[in-house]
Amino acid sequence: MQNTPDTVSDDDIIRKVIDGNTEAFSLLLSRYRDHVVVIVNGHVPPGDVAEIAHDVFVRAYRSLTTYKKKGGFKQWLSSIAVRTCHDFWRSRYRSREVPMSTLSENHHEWLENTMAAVSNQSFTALNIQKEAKELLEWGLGHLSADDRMVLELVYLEGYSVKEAAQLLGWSPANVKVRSFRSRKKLHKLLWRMIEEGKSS
Amino acid sequence: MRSVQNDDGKLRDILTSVYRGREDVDVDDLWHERVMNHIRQIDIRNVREDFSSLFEWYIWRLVPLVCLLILVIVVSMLTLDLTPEYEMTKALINDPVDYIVGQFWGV
Repeated sequence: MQNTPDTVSDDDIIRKVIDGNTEAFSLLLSRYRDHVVVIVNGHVPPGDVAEIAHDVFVRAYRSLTTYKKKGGFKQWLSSIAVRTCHDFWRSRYRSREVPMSTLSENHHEWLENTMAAVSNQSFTALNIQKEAKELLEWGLGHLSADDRMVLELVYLEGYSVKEAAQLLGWSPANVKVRSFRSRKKLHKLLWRMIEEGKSS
Repeated sequence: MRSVQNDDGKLRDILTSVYRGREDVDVDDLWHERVMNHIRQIDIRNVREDFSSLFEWYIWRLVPLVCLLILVIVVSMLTLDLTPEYEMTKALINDPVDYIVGQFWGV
């Protein structure tokens, strides 16, 4: 039986690539590009997704000789994707390129109205507004790169502490403490904004 | 207390809902080709390991050892009698020629 591209295992492809068949990497790229793009899209601005996903595959290729079968290639690649996003934010914060947009009356109003909404359905309709996205971006922009990543993974995406620790390469205790602190920070920022909106 | 918890829960629901409502981004075949072009330029046989991550790994594992070494040096500096070294340095500074000649002839 001849192996078609879909039936060849990841480990076989990796072996071929390491043995010098660079073109075989294209199979891994086709197989996992959507998976990587989804991860990257969850952590970086839409305009940077293609570039960061590109970096993820280049990093993976460079580190292919260090890949160990434990956990599988998908898990290993996911971890590289998350760490590349983390590095993206670290370099952004270092060069102070994180946009700190000021919020308008509309943002205050939107958050206040949404918090006052009785049912989940009512704010589902409200949250498609532009203000909602800008508000979240504003809040995340006030956190450090570490806090931002851990908050997105644990609090917003719903990963367990153990999973997030594996993806970030941190200890579970560190993830637990950081996610708690970053959540507190974000809530504090947003509550303060609601209070300011009420008083003005 | 309960109200604060409810409000925090509500805020989380809102933020999660906004976060998950992000627009999807797609990459096309041109992107695929660009990545492959980049990959072809890298010689994997010469890139055995990602040295930056390897370096970082070693640095963090060496931190306790470095701290211990610093502690040992500080303790030994405080406990050792450095008077002879001090006197020799003083002699060298006061009369370097005499000191070097003296050292050379073993005086």
